[in-house]
Amino acid sequence: MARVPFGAGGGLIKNLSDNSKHPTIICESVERLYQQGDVTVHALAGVSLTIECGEFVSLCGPSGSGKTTLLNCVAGLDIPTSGEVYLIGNKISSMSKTELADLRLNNVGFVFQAYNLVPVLSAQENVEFVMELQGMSKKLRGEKARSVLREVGLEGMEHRRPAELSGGQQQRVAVARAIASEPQLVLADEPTANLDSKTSASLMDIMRKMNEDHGITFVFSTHDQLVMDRARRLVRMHDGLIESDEIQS
Amino acid sequence: MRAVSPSLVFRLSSRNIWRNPKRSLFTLLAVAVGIWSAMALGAFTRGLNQTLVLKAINNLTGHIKVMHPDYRRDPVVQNRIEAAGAEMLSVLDSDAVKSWAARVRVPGVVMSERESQGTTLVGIDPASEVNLSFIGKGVHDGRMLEDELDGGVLLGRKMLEVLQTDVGKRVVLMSEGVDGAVADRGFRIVGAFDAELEATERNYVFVGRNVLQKMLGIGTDVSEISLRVADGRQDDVQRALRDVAKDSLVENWETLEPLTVSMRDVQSGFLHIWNVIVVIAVGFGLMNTLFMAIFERTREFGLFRAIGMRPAMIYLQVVGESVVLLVLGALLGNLLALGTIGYFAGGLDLSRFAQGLEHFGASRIVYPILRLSDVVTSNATIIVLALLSTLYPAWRASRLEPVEALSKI
Ligand SMILES: Nc1ncnc2c1ncn2[C@@H]1O[C@H](COP(=O)(O)OP(=O)(O)O)[C@@H](O)[C@H]1O
Ligand SMILES: [Mg+2]
Repeated sequence: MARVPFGAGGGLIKNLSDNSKHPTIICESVERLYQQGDVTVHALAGVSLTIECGEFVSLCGPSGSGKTTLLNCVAGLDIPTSGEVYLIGNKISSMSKTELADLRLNNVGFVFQAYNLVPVLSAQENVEFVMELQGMSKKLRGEKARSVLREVGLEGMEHRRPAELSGGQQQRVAVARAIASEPQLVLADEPTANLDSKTSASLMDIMRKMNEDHGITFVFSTHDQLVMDRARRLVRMHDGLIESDEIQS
Repeated sequence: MRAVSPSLVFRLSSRNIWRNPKRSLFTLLAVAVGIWSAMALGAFTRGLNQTLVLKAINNLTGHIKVMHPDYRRDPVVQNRIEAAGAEMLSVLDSDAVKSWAARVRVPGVVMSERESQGTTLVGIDPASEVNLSFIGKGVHDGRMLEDELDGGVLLGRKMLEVLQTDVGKRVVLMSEGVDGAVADRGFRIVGAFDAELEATERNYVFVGRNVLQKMLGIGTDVSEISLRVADGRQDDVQRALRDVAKDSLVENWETLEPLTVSMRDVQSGFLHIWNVIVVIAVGFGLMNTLFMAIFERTREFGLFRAIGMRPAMIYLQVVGESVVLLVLGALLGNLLALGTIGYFAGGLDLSRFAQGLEHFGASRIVYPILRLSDVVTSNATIIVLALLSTLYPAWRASRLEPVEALSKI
C-alpha cells in the first residue's frame, strides 16, 4: 500500500522501501511474567504474532488478558521475560533505551485511553510536539499540524488547551498527534474506552481513514464490540495467550 | 535530529510554572526570602560588629595599650609607668603607628555643690587624642581642653545631670595621691561631651594630663600609652613594643576587650546558624515542592517517554522550571535586600532597645554595611544549594519507568 504524506508541500518523505520489506511487528513466543508476592502472573504466556505494514488490527479480550502488556512490549516500553520482538526490522532486546526512544519518536505514534495530551500546550502545540522533538522546522510542522487537525475535524480549535476540549475532541487531538509525523505504526491502547458509542464510531472512522489514505499501520486494543467490528483483523486474547486471529470481511 | 529541543524545554518549563501558581509562588518567595535574609541580616550584623569594635577601640582602648603589669588588676596611681623613653618613642613615631597618646587614668570622685559621683579621672593631652579616641572628636557644649596644662574639666552630659550642675560651674575632683593621702583640686567645667553610651558619659572625667600629674604628685609618669596602628601592623607593633618595654604589659584590644570579641563572634555565629537554617529550609522546601510537582505529573512523563522523549530532556525540563523560578526569586530577593539596606542606610535607630543593648556595648545606631563579597556569597549559596536540591528530583523524574508511570492516573 502506498503511503501518502500530509500537507501540501510534503517535505518529510521517509525512505519507505527499506522499512517496508520487514513486517511492522514480529513477536516470537513472547512471555511477560510478573511476580506478585508468591504468585507468578503470566501477563503474556507465549505470544507469537506477525503484523504486516498497512494492517488495521484490533487486539480484544477481557480485562487482564494481556493487551496492554503486549502493546508495551511491542513498543519497547516493557521488556519481555523471554521471547523476541522485532519492531520495523529492529530487534528490540538488543537496543539501548535511547535507541528505543529514537525508534519510537520516528516510527511509532501512540494513543492511550486518557490523559494523552500535555495540559499546558494547545491542541496544535500538542500535535506539533512529536515533530518538534524530531527537529522539524516551525513552519513545516505548523502546516502539518493544521492539516491533520482539519482531517480529524478540529479546524478552528487549534489554540484550545486540552481542558477546553471534550473527551472525544481530546482523543482526536491524540490521534492527530500520533499520525502527524507520519509514523509507520500507531499503537492505541483502548482509545475509545472513555467515549460514548457515537464518538467512538467517529474516532474509529478517522483512524480507518488515516490507515487507508496514508498507509499507516494501526494496532489498537479494545473490548468494545463496535470498535472490533471496524477492524480488518481481529486478534482475541485470553489469559496472556492468543485465542483466535482472523481477518474480518 | 536533535536530542533536545531547547525552545520546547523552555516552553514546557515556563508554562508549567503557571500550572500551580501557589506552589510556584511559594518556591519563588522561599528563594527571595532566603537571599533577602542572608543579605540584609549580613549587612546589619556587619554594621553592628563594626560599631562594636570601633567603639571598643575609640573607648580609650586603641588597638594596643602599654601599662604597668598590675594596672589591669588594680588601676591605682601606684601602678604607673614612666613616660615613653627614646627607644619606645622610636616605635611610637614609626609609620606603623597612626596615632598614640599617654594618659593618666585613676579612680576618683567628682563632687558638685549638690552631689558626688565615683568615676575615672583621665588626664589627657588633647592634641594626641584627635585621631585616637572619642574625646578627641571634641565636645558638645562649651569648649575642648586646650592642652595638657589646661585647668578645666570635661564632664559627660549624663554626669552633668547626675551632679545637677552645668558648664561654667565648678566641681572638685578627688583621688588617692602617690603618697597615699587624698589629693583634691577644684576645676571649672569648660565643656560637656556626648558619648553613644550613657555609661561612658558617667565613667570618665577628662582633665589636662599635666594638671592631674601635679595633683597626684607623679611627675611625668603615666598610667597607659594607647595607640592606633596602620592596617595589618598590629602584631608587628605589639612585638616591637614588648621588646622595648620589658617591664610593662603590652596588650592588644582583643585581649583587653574580651567581651567585644566574644560579642562579635557570637553575632557572626548566629548569622551563620541562621543562614544554614535558611538554606536548609529553602533547599528542602524546594525539593519537596518539586517532588510533589513530579508526582502529579508522573503520567505525563510516562507519556513523554512513550512518544520518544529522551530522559535527558525530561531532566532539563524539570531543572529548567526551577531555574526560571530561582532567577525570578533571586531578583526579587536582591531587590528586597537592597531596598531594606538602602532604606536604613542613614542608620537604624535602636534607641528603643539601646538601654538593653548598652550592656553588650552596642551602639544606639547601626549602619548596615553591604559588601560585594556578601552579595555574591548570599546569592551563590542560595542559588547553588537550591539548584542542587532540584537535581535529585529531576533525576528521579528522568529515570521513571515509562510503563509504571503510564499506569498512574
Ligand atoms: N506491573 C504489574 N505488576 C503485576 N501484575 C501486572 C502488572 N501489569 C499487569 N499485570 C497483570 O498482568 C495481567 C495482564 O494485564 P494487562 O496487560 O494490563 O491486561 P489488559 O490490558 O488486557 O487488561 C493482569 O493480570 C495484570 O494484573
Ligand atoms: Mg489494558
